[in-house]
Amino acid sequence: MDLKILQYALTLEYLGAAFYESALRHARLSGEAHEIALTFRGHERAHVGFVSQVIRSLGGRPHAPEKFVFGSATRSRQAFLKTSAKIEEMCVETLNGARPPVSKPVLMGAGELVSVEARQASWVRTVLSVDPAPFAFNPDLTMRSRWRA
Amino acid sequence: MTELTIEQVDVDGAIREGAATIEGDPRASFISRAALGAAGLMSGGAALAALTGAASAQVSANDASILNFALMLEYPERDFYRQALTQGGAGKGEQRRFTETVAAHETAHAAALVKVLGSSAILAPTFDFYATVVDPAKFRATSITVEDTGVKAYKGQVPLLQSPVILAAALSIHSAEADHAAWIRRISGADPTYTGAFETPLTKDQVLANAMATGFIVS
Repeated sequence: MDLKILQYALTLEYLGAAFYESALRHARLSGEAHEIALTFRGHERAHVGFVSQVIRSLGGRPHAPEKFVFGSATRSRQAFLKTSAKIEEMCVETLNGARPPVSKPVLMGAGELVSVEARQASWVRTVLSVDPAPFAFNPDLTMRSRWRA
Repeated sequence: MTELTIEQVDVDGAIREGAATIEGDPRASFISRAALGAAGLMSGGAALAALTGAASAQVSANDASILNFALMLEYPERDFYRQALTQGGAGKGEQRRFTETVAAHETAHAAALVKVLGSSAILAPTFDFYATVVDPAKFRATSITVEDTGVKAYKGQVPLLQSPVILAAALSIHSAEADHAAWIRRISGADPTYTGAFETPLTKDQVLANAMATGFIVS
């Protein structure tokens, strides 16, 4: 159970790391958007390492990174910011869906990441001038969907 | 190496549809369109309903104790933002929008916790926030502390909860507090993701020590 979920979480982190890498190469970013891409790439890379480590500690083998195709999403500042907001929101919703039967150590690991993803989402939304805190209770994706893996 | 497009990861279209419509569009509308039906997305409202739907008799002693601890943080947050709105600390422009939004959120959090706890809910203490609800700069600094602490406090308690329903609701509050924290940090010119890639929880004792150190609790 844990390993399947963690491999999915790893895919999400690979996606984030590759997305910010691609944006830094292709989106001609400057100012705060550049700072965001640089900062978040560092976070997502660290998360890749963290999730991989948890997978290994449970006796599993982290899968190799997928190759992602971002197309126009990383070719302009505006497309980059909008897609970044959606990726971070998806990460928050996915991690918020973690609950038993996910084991307690994995739950705690997800907890350590989720507020960072939420801070990222809120930051990007302020730059987009979209409500940075749209919900008193943030949504989650339940086990049935994302966490089914 | 597998080749994946964003479409394959974004199975329910939330990223793509969201990216196309986010501008000027309330976030809730595309979430309900794209994801609610098929993907089992639980909206903020549904999390609230699930939380308040749990009769207080069904809440274990362990969970009630944790929820009362959360309530002990939500009461001062609620009163802090409400008072700042009437006493000047909220300032104007984006800072005022932040204060209005967060006052409403913290009010909703406190109300949900009171409802779930029923007669076992602790009563709201009296607070004196001094100049932090009057002076916009002091308000910003205190707001950052309040929200950062709130995030780390929920983070520390979530894994200790027994009921999956209450755990889900606590998680949904936890990341909402992180949204607040990043927002007020950016307004203040402080780093919204100052913790780096990982954010460490605070224990109950650490949070209580921080809360008492503020001197805000009068009785």
